[in-house]
Amino acid sequence: MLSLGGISFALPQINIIELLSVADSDNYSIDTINDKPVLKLREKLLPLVHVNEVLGLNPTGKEQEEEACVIICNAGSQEFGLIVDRIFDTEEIVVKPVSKRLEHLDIYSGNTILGDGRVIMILDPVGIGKGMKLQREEAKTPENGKELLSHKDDNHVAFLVFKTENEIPKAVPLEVVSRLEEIEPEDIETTGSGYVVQRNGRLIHLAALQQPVAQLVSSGQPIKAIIFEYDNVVIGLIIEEIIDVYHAAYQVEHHSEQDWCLGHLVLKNKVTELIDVSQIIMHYVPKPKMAPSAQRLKLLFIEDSPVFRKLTVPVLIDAGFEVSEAGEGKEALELVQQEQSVFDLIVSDIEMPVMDGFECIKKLRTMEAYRDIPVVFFSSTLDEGRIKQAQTLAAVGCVHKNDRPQLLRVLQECVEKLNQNALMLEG
Amino acid sequence: MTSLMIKEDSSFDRTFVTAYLGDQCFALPVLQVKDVLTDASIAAIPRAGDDIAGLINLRGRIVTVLDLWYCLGKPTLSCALRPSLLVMKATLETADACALLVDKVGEVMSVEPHQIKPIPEHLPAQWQQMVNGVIVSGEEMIVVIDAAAILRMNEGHEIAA
Repeated sequence: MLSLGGISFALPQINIIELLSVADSDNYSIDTINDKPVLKLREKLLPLVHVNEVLGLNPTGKEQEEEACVIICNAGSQEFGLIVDRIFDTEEIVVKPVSKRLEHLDIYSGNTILGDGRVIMILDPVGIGKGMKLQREEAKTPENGKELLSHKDDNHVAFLVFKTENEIPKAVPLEVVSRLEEIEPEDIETTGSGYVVQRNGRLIHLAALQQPVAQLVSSGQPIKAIIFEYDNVVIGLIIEEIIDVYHAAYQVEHHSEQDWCLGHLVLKNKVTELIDVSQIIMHYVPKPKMAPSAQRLKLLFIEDSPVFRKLTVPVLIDAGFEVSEAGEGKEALELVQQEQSVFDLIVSDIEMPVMDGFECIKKLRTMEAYRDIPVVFFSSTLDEGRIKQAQTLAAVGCVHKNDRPQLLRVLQECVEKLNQNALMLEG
Repeated sequence: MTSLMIKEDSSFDRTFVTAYLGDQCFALPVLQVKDVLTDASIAAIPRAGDDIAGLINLRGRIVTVLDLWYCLGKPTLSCALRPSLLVMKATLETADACALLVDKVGEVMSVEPHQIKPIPEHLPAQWQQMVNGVIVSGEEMIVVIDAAAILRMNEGHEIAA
């Protein structure tokens, strides 16, 4: 609960990282860069927003500055500070959606009635950030802990390293891990095809790499498992213990006979086996059925994350496509020029280094053979701007990266259309 | 002014609630009005656009208050000391209930059809859309407002932040 210009507002606690009092300026200082206030806090520089200004209220008077506070929030991946007049306590409130007339105001995420009957607005940090037009910084400083999940810096990927029954360490890209669980033996149930655990109304299928699940389960000890979620299927991979999370370049040497092992990489000077998550999952995910076609259709898959390529390409191959991969737009164009036969479909990421998805498709469409080729875009963020751009490039669809079933559905439609076209040409 | 007498055959289409904005008297069909509040405390919403006076707590529901003066194109007078509110019924068109801000609420009156005259043509365009007619009652000219039109006009309001 806070006050701005004499009016009370609420801010969801979940958006709040830290609270600072302006008066207590030992730990930090407020400076201005180019007339914009900036907060220096423990080596980080955070943009500051005078919420009074965003709301069009009177700016904080000098006398009020004594009591003023800074609320550090995060909006997506961006952290910034909000300067407010006063902070009261926290309260539990029931959020009511704003009326239709106010929906367009993205600085508010709702409103509520307090215990004393007052109606107050709930502020939305993301909307306020937009109000000040905060720009996402492209260059991240090394201390920025967010790099844990970003693999766009130098191809470094975060790996979760663990041990199973034998001593060889194994790794899995952290990106695909949903969570870790410890399962009591009493919770494990058998189905016709294996062992499952019920959690939150869903079934986790237990899998193991080397020993049969039955053997591990019968030990009577609690079981540790890494949980992967994929297309509504949840898999628990039984492990012995977690070692750590390491960052390394995705450099894999392929030599392994096991189908669950993609190869080896060196993490912290130890040879580690890289687990092929898609193989494990494919045991449990119903195989996508593509309309049978006379020839295997050639699909060009453009995506810069090696992890994501490894996850999706096997599924596409399994669905019946002949898949060629490219790491980003420029590579894709080179591949297209080298290839003898023309591709039938393109599935492309949007954000990629060197040349992004939109630019690449724009260039492709200037080529005679590819003018009408069906293109499906996917991305981790889908907003109106992106969807509109995809439409201007005559894309068949725009799918969210995590939504594999949707991607397959859209491809299915493309295949059917292509088959229809082929029939029409023949007939 | 005649007071309302509910007769079996009285047509509610011709029964109105009157309200004052400054000196001007307005009338709204009684069927469109759900409630009348006096002395409400309105929570202001920064950046919400001048047509929205704020929000009120109506028995546990949050209701948006529209400034009737603004809707009719007049500059907003600073809130009267004790503003009154006409809470309008939510119809199928307007998803949420809303209230109109007026200075004072008058009486309920019932008029004969012939007392409602067509709108004079020299009224500003904005009024033409929202006004259904004028009632001549004694010395007073009472402007009959189509509440549905006002509410509709506001719904489509896109205000650049």
